[in-house]
Amino acid sequence: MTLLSRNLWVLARSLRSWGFTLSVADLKDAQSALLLTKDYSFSGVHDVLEGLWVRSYDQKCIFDKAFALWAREFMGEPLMIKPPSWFSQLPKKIKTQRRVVWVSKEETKKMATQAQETLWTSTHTASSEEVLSDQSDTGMPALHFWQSPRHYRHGYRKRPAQKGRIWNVPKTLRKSLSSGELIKWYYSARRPRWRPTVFLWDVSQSMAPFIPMFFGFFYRLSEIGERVDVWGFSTQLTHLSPRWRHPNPLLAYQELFRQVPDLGGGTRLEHTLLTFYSQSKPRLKHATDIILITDGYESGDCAELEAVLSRIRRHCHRLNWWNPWYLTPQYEIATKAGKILRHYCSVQKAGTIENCLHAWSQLA
Amino acid sequence: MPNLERIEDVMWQLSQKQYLADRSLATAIFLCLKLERPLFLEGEPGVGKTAVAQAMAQVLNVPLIRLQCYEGIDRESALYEWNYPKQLLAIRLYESSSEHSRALNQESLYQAEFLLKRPLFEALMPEGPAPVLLIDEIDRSDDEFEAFLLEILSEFQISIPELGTIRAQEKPFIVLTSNRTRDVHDALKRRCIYHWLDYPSFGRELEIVELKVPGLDQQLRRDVVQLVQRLRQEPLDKKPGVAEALDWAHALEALMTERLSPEVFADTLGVLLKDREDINRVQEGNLIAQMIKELESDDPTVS
Ligand SMILES: Nc1ncnc2c1ncn2[C@@H]1O[C@H](COP(=O)(O)OP(=O)(O)OP(=O)(O)O)[C@@H](O)[C@H]1O
Ligand SMILES: [Mg+2]
Repeated sequence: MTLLSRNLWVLARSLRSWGFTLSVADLKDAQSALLLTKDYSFSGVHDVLEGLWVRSYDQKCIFDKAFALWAREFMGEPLMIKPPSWFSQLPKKIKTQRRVVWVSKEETKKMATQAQETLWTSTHTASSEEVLSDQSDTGMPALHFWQSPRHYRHGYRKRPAQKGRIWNVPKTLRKSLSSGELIKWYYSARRPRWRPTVFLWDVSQSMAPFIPMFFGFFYRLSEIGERVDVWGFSTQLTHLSPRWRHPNPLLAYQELFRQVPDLGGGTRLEHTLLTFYSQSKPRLKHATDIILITDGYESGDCAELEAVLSRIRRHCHRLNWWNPWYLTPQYEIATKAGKILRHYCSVQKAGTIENCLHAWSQLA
Repeated sequence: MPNLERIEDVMWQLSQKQYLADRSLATAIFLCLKLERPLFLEGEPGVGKTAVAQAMAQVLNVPLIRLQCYEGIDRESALYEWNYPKQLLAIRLYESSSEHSRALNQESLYQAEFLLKRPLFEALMPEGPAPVLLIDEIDRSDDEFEAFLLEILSEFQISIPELGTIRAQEKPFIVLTSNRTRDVHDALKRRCIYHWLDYPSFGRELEIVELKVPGLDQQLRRDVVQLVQRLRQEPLDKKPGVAEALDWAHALEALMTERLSPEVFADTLGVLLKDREDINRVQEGNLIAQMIKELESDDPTVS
């Protein structure tokens, strides 16, 4: 093992703990590429490694930082001459935490926010009053084992069908060739595709009674394989869907309480919508349905709410507002945020699981 | 084939074809050529992703084959298709004609003459030299198509059930571009050399504008680039790319502007910003006058 390859290996090993999938083949590639470019300056090595090891923009950000740290260790010394002083200090095996040793704690934190799996949170944090002192779970959600209509949309792809309006010319031709004559026509039908759906779920104090119900709803939806993406928000925005891979709903429910830092906090609807829009604008497709689950109370002023709602509206297929109190006697949408929301979204009642199912079947 | 033995050669050759590449981009292209891997380009709209492929086709002096991806693109429209109407017609002709010299069977119907070649097929089995294949905006296609591309990019061969397996004689130079509206699968990226194209630096953008709009006054050009760079720092929904900067330079040239004033800027803002709210935001906050003032105060120090 040459010195360069050893140093590369250390870099690769630390990158791996940040979610890069680097194998020995990648290391070999890097070495042969460096032999080709014959440029061992830091920028030259950086460009080569970036081309070979980085696979997304998020990874590029992490890589740039890690490379800078890695390069700093040499302090202007050429890459090939001396083993870096810190190399021997690497512990043999890190048991509890598989982390990079030569990155300081602060830097670790900064980079962790950029790792893909990490929560996207806004800059605001809950004030101490807003955070519920007791975040224990408030009883189990009732898990209903219902079936729901699929949330489809028409696709371009086709599948064979008994009858229909679309001819399946290739199949007709094939069959008639083998039988010798054109006798029977074969048909195809459109193959529907899942429609992606994004839920923005208000988990603030005022919506706390509904948390078990909505959790059960989402859990079941993802269980039957719908393409739903759920973001929880009260003062921060948290991506929730991956947490539900847990096969046991009880544990997944407990996990929810552990993962959402501001469950039962205040509501910053406008701010979270702004964050959501700026973070996921490139990923929003025009086929997506966005569903906002909130009661329409907003603790801030709604200066930019209107603008961001109209933007989101233009970027998605449908923008719905599921309001648990809607259509209950003596309830009126009175808040300023609520009025703006009603103008931009179509409002649906979602107070019980039956309401949710009804609203969902209207989407399908 | 031009001499592309060093990274500098790549940069120089590209600049000959009116594309100014940074060293990191040139490194990626160089590695693609040497390791025979596809180039995966990602970046904001209008930073010159498509232009890379066009310039490379000119450098290598081969044709450019472009496959524009869209939602719902499938194997048939990308690779090949049987010309069913023509086949049906052949059957009919055969049935109506009296001469039965040529037996009509499966083989005679599935011949190259009934094959409609689509871009990928053309790229793998070209008539001349191996072309540059541009697979544009791959993030718009769906997962199935991505998996299918994976098969082609790793083996450089296609299997047509009726004709057998066809393997590319010479590997084409492949450029994949993406606007990052969704993440492309890792398995596909693993086979490529990845490069993130960023907005160019001030000096680089100045050179690009100089190259593409040579008629523009030098001072004006400097102002244009500086303003565009300044606009990119604003929290805009859609930031102006290199393409917009070039458009603006062209527009100012056509208007025969000599000096940038707030009025000219406001009138031609539509060339730079394509979103009504962005335009409103820039116009409302007195930003235009402020930016022009910044320009004037900067000028003596710059020149
Ligand atoms: N480095 C450069 N040198 C010369 N011209 C450039 C450079 N970068 C961009 N351009 C010019 O910018 C214009 C826009 O580039 P292009 O159309 O390739 O953008 P794009 O990234 O493909 O955009 P989109 O994502 O919308 O497809 C082209 O006319 C190109 O000539
Ligand atoms: Mg393009």
